[in-house]
Amino acid sequence: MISTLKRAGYFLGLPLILLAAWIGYTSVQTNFFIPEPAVLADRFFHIWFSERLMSDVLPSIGRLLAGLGLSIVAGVTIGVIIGYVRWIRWLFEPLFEFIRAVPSTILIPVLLLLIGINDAMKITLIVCSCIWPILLNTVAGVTSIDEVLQNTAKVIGLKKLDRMRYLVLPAASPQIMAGIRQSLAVALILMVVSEMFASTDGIGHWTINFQNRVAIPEMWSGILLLGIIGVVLSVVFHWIQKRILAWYEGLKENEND
Amino acid sequence: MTTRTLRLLGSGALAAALTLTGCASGSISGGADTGAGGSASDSELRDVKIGLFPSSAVAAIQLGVNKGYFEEEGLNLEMLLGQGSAAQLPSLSSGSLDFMLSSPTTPLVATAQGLDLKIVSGYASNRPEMVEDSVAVMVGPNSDIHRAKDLEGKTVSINALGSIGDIGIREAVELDGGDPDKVTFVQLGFNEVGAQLESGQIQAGMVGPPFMQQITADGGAVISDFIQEAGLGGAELVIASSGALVEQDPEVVESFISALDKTLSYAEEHQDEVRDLLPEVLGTSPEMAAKTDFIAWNAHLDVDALKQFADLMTKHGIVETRPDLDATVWSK
Repeated sequence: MISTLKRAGYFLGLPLILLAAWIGYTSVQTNFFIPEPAVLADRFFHIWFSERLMSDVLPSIGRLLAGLGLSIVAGVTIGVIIGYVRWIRWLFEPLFEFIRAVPSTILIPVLLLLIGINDAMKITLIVCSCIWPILLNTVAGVTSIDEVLQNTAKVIGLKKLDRMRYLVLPAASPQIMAGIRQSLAVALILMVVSEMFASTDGIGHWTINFQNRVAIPEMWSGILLLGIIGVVLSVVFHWIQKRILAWYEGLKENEND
Repeated sequence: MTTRTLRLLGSGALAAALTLTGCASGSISGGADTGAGGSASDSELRDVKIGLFPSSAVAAIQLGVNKGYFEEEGLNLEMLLGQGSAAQLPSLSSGSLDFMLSSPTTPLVATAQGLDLKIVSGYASNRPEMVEDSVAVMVGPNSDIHRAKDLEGKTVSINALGSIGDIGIREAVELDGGDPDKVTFVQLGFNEVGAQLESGQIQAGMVGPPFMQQITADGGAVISDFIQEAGLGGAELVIASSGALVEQDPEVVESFISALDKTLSYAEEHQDEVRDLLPEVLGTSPEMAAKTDFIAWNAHLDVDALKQFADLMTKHGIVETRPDLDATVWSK
């Protein structure tokens, strides 16, 4: 109980200090570009939870989760195959290195032409960026599995699929999770970027338009919402990670730090 | 401690603002070209900064700098390029910029929201007899859209919601007997419009030179010179400053307007000299520069056109309360 309170204190400490500083600043100094917290809170709830929840927030979250989900499925599947089958790894490595080096945002004009102005384009853009951390971490996880363990699995007669299920995936999962964690922030960035181009809805779309309309509290409310979504994603991911990697001793050690 | 923190925050904000406005000090700098190698007269010049976005405006003002019009008024003008006027507002408000080139929508919407800005001068107006001088709504080859009313039920791209394109196209559709609420607007850069028209992702788009000429060459057509149709042509671009600057230092504002007036009069009369500067200041190819048409440069401020902006911004829901022109337009 005390430990939980202590952790909550650490977690909320800095945000509360910043909030106090923000309240203090706006109470002594009027700044058009820095709204008072109460004003921002009012606009935040008014905009996102009355006007735009269904029309903008849910579509954005849908794109984010769809992009992330596809990236995880594709990244882990391709990563395991590449990591496990050496000749495929050799065959595809140069191509992947080339594609990985191309920033996804440069693909926007191409995706607009190939896919069009729709959700599929936005989700594809997210996948184009998010897949790489997951894929590369999966490859690294699979290729770093101890040779002795692999040989032991063969010796005791585990078939290929069983070796995948009982050895490869569990052994590579800490690195796979690390890749997914890196992808969370990338997914959020790409969601916003995709909504800035040729979009008619979404949190990113409206946040930029609030800027164009010099609606400063509204603009900040978009940024705040994106930050909150990022924190929620991170917390949910952490919760899932703890359950999947409960066996992983290193993780438990980190938790005790 | 508080003062120190505020200073630190201020420095950070200034650095961020300069980064955001993409300023590359010295790259486009009036003083560097005209200061005669740091002569004694430089020290007597008052440094002023103007925020611009990449457009022919940079070349026109550079021409005035090269001609020495700003020096004559005791000013050392530095031009800072940013992505657009909305992003430059914080710099203008904080004093990092003294002036800013903008569509009237930005200062009007900003003052309607409570920011202390002043429109101090006109900059350019639309030529009624020429479509290619600024932006228009275009369609691809073989389109069944021939007039503004036909945009009903179609997807139309504009460069930014809440911009002159937003209010102008809505008004043009309405004036032509259509319902602007039935037009779906999407945000697209001018460079994307041609390809998206071709692929059918949008049915029409707002475009300016030189992309307008490219779309025409590919068989496309202009279907609405909406700025003229909506009555917004008199003040397509204006110069804004902060309320603090015009109150504290009206002399520098008057000097700037005087230099700008000379600059724009000269540029309007010598458009070929502006074309010659385009490759140097914007990287435009000489061939493209030679074909470029310009909007009419004029420092005169068309208040009637500004009133039309304010009316349409209110009518089409860009602002909730009509901008107060008396409070926004600066008078000496």
